[in-house]
Amino acid sequence: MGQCNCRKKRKDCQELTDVERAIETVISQFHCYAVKGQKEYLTPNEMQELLVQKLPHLGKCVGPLEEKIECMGDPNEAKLEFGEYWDMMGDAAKGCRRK
Amino acid sequence: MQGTMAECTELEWAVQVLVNNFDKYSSRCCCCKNPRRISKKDFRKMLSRELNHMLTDTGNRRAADKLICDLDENKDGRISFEEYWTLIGGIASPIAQIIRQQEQGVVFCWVFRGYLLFIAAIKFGGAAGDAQILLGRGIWEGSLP
Repeated sequence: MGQCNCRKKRKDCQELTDVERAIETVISQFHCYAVKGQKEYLTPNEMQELLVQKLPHLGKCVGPLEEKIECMGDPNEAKLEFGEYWDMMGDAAKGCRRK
Repeated sequence: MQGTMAECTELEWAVQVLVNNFDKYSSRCCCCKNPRRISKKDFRKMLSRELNHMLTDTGNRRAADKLICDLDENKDGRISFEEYWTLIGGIASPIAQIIRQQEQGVVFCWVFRGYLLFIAAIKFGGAAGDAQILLGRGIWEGSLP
């Protein structure tokens, strides 16, 4: 994976505010990595990859992924949906604020 | 933070923008050490200025008040960072769903005067009740089938 090819630059991007573009970016990164779950959920491996590659500076604020996955039962079956991904981005955001 | 994140990724930029947006509209209550919060007035301002393409009825006072009411878990009339993050997540989640469905060829849209109007019932985690928001024109036009 690594290289993300599914991000589309939309033609009306210029019209969007920074906040809207930011929301769109967070969504598109989720979709990029959610290959197995067809953009519906991330597997723990996909989430791990996303954290390492896309949040190299903030990833540590999210905390150990293993703990989160453990609560979800079988790690091979675990599905991280958008809501859970968003909460993790929230942890990263709190890390941002502390700096 | 810019200094320490000279080579920040697109996703890190996005998170930082959302954090900066909170700081832009929030303030401290008097001179106490309480964490920063957004007042109702500033929240309404933020919706209409920063999310005007995503939320078509952001000018609607009552809709904004309902959002705040649903979000404001501790009922102090001001929105904390956690509550703010939940709000943005509540907006982002149905959009992510719509984009996914469109790309899979399932069309959940109709055209009205050249604009797309999506109605999404947004449920905020932990907040009371649902907030119905008209999600409008803008970001999805590029992905029209």
